[in-house]
Amino acid sequence: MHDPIALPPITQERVNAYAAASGDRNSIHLDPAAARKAGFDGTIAHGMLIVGLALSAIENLMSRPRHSSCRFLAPVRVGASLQLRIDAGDPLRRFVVEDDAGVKVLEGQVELSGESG
Amino acid sequence: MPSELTEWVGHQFPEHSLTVTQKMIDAFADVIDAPTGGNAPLSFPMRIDMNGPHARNRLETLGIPIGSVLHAEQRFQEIRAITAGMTVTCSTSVRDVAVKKQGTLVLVTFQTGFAENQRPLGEMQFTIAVRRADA
Repeated sequence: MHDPIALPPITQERVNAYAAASGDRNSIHLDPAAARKAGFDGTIAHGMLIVGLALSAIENLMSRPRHSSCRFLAPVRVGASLQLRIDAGDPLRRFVVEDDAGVKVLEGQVELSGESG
Repeated sequence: MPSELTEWVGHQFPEHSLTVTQKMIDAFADVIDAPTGGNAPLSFPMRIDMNGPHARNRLETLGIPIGSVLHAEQRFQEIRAITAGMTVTCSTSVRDVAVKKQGTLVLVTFQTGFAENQRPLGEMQFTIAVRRADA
């Protein structure tokens, strides 16, 4: 098992940049009032931003993923610190992302380039 | 127009195309901390999907209030990496609708295929969980 890998900070600036780069401008990610109206304490990160950060960390650690399957387990508030845990010896390449409170926010598995499906 | 979500299974949204630039790839890669200057990241196809006119009104078309939706699952399968200069066509359909918890929760799965000149590049599936207080 690899040591936990810290993902880049989930700042509002990163969330805003992801909204611009992805085209997903849902107001729950950008507007605190809209997020509160939807039942959150404040803005939350795009789930796909967390997926992208996790896949990039896996690519930097091992090799480029060519298949991924992820389940979103909990919303990620802006300001959260996240850690990726992956067992490199697991043939299914399962991984989890946890927040600073130890809550699992994402779980998934990847198939890497060069691996047969 | 179907009134029940289950009746939307198989519905095909209009196709759309986007010519990918290195600037688009790099902006997307930079924010997710992926290598820049080369192939698009595995999750980049969602940026192409989001560029389409139907992405914003997909939920509206199905009569789903956005405030009732949570993103539940997401899958990507890459056949060939997307690079700058490709004109990528994406086509999205409703793959499955599953009613759970006596109708108070509905899982809607969309499937999007990506191709260049009708040659497949990959596929994306995403599932949303729709909370229905009125069920």
